[in-house]
Amino acid sequence: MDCKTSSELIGRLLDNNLSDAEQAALREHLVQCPVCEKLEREHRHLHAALRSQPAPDLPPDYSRRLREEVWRKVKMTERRSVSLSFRIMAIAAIVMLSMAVMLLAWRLHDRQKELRQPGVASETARRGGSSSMPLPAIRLPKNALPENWSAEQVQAFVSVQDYLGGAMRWMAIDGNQVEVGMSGSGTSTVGEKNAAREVVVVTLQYVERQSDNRTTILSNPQFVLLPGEEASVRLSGRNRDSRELFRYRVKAAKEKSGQISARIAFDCEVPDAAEQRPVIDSPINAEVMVKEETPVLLGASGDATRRHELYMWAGMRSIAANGRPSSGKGDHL
Amino acid sequence: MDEIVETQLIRRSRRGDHEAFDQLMQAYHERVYRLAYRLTGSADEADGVTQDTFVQAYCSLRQFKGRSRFMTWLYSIAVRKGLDLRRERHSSRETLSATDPPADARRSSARGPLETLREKEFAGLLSDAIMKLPGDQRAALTLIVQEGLSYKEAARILSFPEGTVAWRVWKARQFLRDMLADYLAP
Repeated sequence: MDCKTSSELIGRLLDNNLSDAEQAALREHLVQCPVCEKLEREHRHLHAALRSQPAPDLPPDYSRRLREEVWRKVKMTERRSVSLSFRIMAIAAIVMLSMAVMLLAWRLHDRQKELRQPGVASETARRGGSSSMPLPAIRLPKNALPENWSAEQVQAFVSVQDYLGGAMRWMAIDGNQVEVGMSGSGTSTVGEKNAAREVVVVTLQYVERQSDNRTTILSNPQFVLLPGEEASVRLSGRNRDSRELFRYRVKAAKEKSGQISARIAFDCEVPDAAEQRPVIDSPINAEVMVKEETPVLLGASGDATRRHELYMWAGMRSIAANGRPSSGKGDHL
Repeated sequence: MDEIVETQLIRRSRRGDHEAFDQLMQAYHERVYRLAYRLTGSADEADGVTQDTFVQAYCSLRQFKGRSRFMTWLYSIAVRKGLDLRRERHSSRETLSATDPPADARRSSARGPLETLREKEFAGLLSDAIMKLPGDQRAALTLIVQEGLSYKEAARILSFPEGTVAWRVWKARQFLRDMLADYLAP
């Protein structure tokens, strides 16, 4: 063993951290080397001094004082961590709220922009499956229904409802076709006889426009609905020769804003494609917010030579307590 | 402390039982304080380190997985706290001085007055020299020589390999021997 190794092993000898073989080799070297033997004695002295270095006295009553301080600090740490969590949650809530407000503002702005363009359905009006075709400005057919037409429907609704004892929920009329929706249980309080109430009148018009601007009305149902009621009907086309079937699902109600919110689902069945009628291949599903009697275009399909368009307009009508349509203010019937 | 009792106390403490943690503090506070004192060389700082050690131990008790002894885990917290504190105040440190040794160092000796004086002087110089050691060497020396831990335990506390711990202890010894050569010579 050389002196360098010996000097390194002396400390470990004092710490009892040498194997028996290492100990034996070191001791043998120490006997032979006076320099290393002196070094070993010095380290032994130092080791003893370190070991005997007195342990500090604990301050009086230290145990109790320590406990008090520790719990005080623990409480502070916990409070800080709760406060930090609360702050993080508060910041997160503020951020989320701001984002929600921004989103709402953006949607409202968008909606107002839409409403400034009369006659165009909101972006929620979708034509399933078709590409987003730009919708044209409204040009209602010249032979659109006369304004007082809906008055007849409301009168019919009132009469039929009175006759049926108040269970009627909606009525759909297109030409000589009449469909009526009844409440299932018969215990409905809606439409109670002689009670003043409001109904929504929704008119839909499905037209075919050709390149020479000739327009044909294919279907033109009018719905008289109790607000929030959903009417679901199958109606034949207005053209007596056609065998088309039109399916409508209509739901409408007046909103606080005074506008009417409506949900319209529409599709068309052409039993025989050989009739060379344009095939309506995709349904229309639209949710719109409309102003009273302002027509909106819910969807369109086809091309420049033959084009199909579905229009809608709606209004609220009051039915007086005597069971007759009211002629008060705002009643255009 | 009995290992089973200790495990139960730790489990109860984790559930927020202050009384259980009080018992753990009672069992270990003296050793933690002593280690902190040797690392910092100051009674005040030793007190602060001891408090912080137990606060951190309580708050992070869930991280103690029982892979080492609870005491070893406490020591590792105390060493970190002690060395951090020393690092913070290295410029204005307050060391044990020859004129102000710990209370026990002032115990009378059966030896002659000259020898007693020389011993007191040596003890003071030794304390000073220890405080001049780099923190990691001082921690290794304290744990191995003064606390009597094995190299393996010290390595776990200091998060170093055993070889590194052994080398640091050897370097510390070399330094102290050089500093106190006059007093160590036979």
